[in-house]
Amino acid sequence: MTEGRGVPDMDDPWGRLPAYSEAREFIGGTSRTFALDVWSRFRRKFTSVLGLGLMLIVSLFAFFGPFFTRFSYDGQNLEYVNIPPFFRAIERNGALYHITPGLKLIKLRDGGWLDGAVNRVSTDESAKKISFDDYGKKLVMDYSSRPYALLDGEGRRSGPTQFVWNRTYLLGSDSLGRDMMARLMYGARVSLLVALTATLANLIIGVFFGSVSAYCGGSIDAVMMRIVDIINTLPLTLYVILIMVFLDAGMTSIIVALGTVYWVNMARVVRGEILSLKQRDFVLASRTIGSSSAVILARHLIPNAMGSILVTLTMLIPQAIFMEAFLSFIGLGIPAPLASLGTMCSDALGMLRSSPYQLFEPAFLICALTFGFNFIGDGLRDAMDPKLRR
Amino acid sequence: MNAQSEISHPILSVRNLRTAFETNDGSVEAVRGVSFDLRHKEVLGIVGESGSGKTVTAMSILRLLPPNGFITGGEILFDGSDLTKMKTGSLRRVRGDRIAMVFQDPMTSLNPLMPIGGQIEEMIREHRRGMSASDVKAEVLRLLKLVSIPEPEARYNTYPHEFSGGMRQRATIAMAIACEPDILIADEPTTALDVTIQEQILILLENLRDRLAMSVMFITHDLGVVAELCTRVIVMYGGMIMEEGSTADIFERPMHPYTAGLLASVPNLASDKGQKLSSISGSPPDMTHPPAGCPYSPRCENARNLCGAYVPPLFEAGGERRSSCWLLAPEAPSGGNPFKAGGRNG
Amino acid sequence: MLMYAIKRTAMSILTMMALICVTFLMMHAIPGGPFTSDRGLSPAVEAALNEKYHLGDPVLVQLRHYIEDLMRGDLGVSYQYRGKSVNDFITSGFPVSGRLGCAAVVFVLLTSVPLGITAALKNGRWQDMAVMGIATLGVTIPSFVMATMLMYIFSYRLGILPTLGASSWKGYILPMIALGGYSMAFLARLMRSSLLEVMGQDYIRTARSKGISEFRVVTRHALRNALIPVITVLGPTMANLLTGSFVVESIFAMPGIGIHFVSSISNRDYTTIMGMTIFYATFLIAIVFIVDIFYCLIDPRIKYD
Repeated sequence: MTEGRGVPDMDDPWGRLPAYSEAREFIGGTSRTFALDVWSRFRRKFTSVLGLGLMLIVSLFAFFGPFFTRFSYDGQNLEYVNIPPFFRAIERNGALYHITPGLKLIKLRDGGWLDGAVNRVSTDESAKKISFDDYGKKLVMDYSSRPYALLDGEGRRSGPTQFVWNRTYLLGSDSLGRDMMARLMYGARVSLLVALTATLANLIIGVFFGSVSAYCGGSIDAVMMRIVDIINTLPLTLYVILIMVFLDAGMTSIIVALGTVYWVNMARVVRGEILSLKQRDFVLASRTIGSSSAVILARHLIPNAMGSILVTLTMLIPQAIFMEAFLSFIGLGIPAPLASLGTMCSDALGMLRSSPYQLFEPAFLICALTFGFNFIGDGLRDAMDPKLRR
Repeated sequence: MNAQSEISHPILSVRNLRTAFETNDGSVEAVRGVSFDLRHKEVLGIVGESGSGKTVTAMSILRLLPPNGFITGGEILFDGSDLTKMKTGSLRRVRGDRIAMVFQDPMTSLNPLMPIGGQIEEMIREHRRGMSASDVKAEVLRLLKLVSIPEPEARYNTYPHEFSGGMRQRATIAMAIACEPDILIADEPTTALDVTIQEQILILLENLRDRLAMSVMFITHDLGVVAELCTRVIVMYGGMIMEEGSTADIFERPMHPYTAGLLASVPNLASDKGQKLSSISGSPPDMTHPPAGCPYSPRCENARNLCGAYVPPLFEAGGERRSSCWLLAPEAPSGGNPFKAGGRNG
Repeated sequence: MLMYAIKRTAMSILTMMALICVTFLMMHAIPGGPFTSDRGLSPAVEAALNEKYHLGDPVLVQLRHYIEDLMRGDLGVSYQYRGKSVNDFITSGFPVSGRLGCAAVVFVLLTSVPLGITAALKNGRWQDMAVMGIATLGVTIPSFVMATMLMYIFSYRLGILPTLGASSWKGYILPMIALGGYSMAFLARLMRSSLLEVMGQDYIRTARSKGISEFRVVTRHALRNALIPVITVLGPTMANLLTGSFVVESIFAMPGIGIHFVSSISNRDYTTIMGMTIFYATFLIAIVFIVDIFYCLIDPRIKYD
């Protein structure tokens, strides 16, 4: 009957069912480790997986992308300025041309490769016409009305017709003729590094502050929490700006500024967790065998609070990315020629009308990263929420 | 103890009620085919462990289930109509006015941001339209006095957090009886209170029942409370009725192994000092995977093979008694059968 | 209640003093900053600075003078523009910034709360999905991206609204949305989860058991309770709105305080940065204080906490 798990023997309906034992009870579910448990619940939510995917893709792009491109983030080519990733090309004499916002005429070959700017011969400002000489063939650009058109020797006019992808600069080039893609990879790397380092610094300060405050308790706790209260009423954006003004722009200053501001929330979370964990028996048990406070904190309390620490952490990263972009945008961020996603957005602002792609691309990456981390944070919190656990 | 057993027309009939919850792990049936009657002016006790389905049964009557809970079958007949199929508008006229409820935890069952007086007033305003404001207030003060809240004038504008647990429960009772309902459903109203306060609340409920001629459905896990207050008892387990009968009969001679187990686990001052308090081994069934047969069979000391495979029907066990145990079936052998040999359980 | 107000006032003053001291000492320590001797400024500005900040005195005396000036409402003089004081910047910019800020606060409150309520009451249905979709977008798009996108779409592509604000009421629409977008999304999410939680509370079941209509259950019992967490974050949210205006003002070229602040940062106009920071901080701390007191009035339980 042991194999039957309480399957009754119906040949003898009135015979006694085996006495109370595991055989009578259905034991549901198998035991898993906490991490596996969280992962299995995390996986079940579409947005969490999407967030993780986004984060991974952007990270791969930022850290491994540079191996697959021949451009560097600061290599300029003033011939190819502000060329979008795709555009309508003008067909003339069997060749394709592109007119840049700066009124340069770029010749194309093999359906999208940039083949150099065409020589300018003369400009007629009043008629809004520019003459070019493409190895003996005379071309006149008419920029009096949009869309700009090309006229040949006989005055036949042809406007942009053919849709062409930019093969040389897959994501276009910026206002100094730098490859957008290389700059995006670089910018994303800087943004990620700044965000991660700053978050790490916040983690260390926050966990240290919170755990010491909670563990020591009493007047030390009261004073430390008063400090947290004061910092909490400070407008943090202003504080970060002040530090940046003080330290002057640069990657280290950003990390210092961001790394020293946002630990307050972490400290509160850690303190709350540890205060409740402190009451548990295993801490008492550890103390009775003579463990020191530091050991109890490091071995028992902090690892047990890791769940909420991790959730707070993933929520902090997008905040740091936001702030870095914001600082770069108001001119306190990474100085040129280095790039972060924020500086790229800021640089692109002046050319929003003619070259909006220069803004959209870094903006998209920032959104993808903040999306990703927010979703991961949400997913982790739900997956770790004991209320949802069955 | 009130042991009246006049047979009268039921005021509320629950017929084959089934209630299920949609959860992440699929549908869970919390009430599995429950039928009973509530008679005029009686106090009916519904007893069971947590998870037995007693609270869900009560919530089903006024359709106060959480959003993931659904009545999947059966009917609840009140005043000639079926509450399970009634339109929301008509149901609202039953709620509070005809059938009122008192909930388990007075700490959470009152709105923390509304003064006590206002919360009681709301009940009266809803069902006694056209009553003047001063009349309503006078009525609330009368009710507060009725449930023995001291200084009702001063208490009228205070908030729930300024009341003690017992006072809050008095306030919820005042709210429930404000429209003199036909039926009062009390869902473990004393569980969250201190023992001394429990006693006062029970006395209050009993007085009110006599005064207002209500029928009371009293849901509890505390057999002591049942013995004190109820005229009839229903014992529930695993979403089903295990046994039903008058309080005296059930305490005197339980006709179901689960009831017997429950009674044996209640400390009794009158019993021999040397006697060991027994407990029921095992734990209540996991309702996501209920046992195939009688829900109690995994824990039952008298379980037969039949019990593990088929759910027993409710057998008539003489008089008003019904019990859902295969050992009461006509075919059941009497050997080792506590309910057949005429032998008492013990 | 009174105790709480006194405690909060003391805390706010303490915070302000800490901020003023830190700001002042930081600006003092900047190499090449206004308070060092090798400045290479025009004699006129130099004289003005010397007179204003008592540069001959020891640092702490300077700080005392500075605080005394602040008490009189004098935020100092510009380090880059002769004859301009920080107060001038603020009086010229405040009407624009104030209008933008108020518009954004009203916009945020009028959209986020109804959206959150709709999402919670239609939990799991398409309305909920739509609101949550908008909210997720809102919290992941930085305000400057939102501002530029809106400008690109509505001004350049569609041509409905002006690119540069402040000249007519239409000019305020895009900045207002860009500024309020994040807070709106955040508050809508908070309102939704808060109302969902409240709707599962016992006292909502009690209210339903009274037979009152679902509309009254929501309006009389659920909403007020659900608004409490929203009110607690209202102070920081408003602070967020006002500091966010730096960027939005400079993108839409609105002559508010924010644009002066941003340009003072890029010009390294240290005294203006200092004065503006202190002005902003006072303003924000005051707002958070007022919201906290308001919160006390809404929730009767707080008196005993």
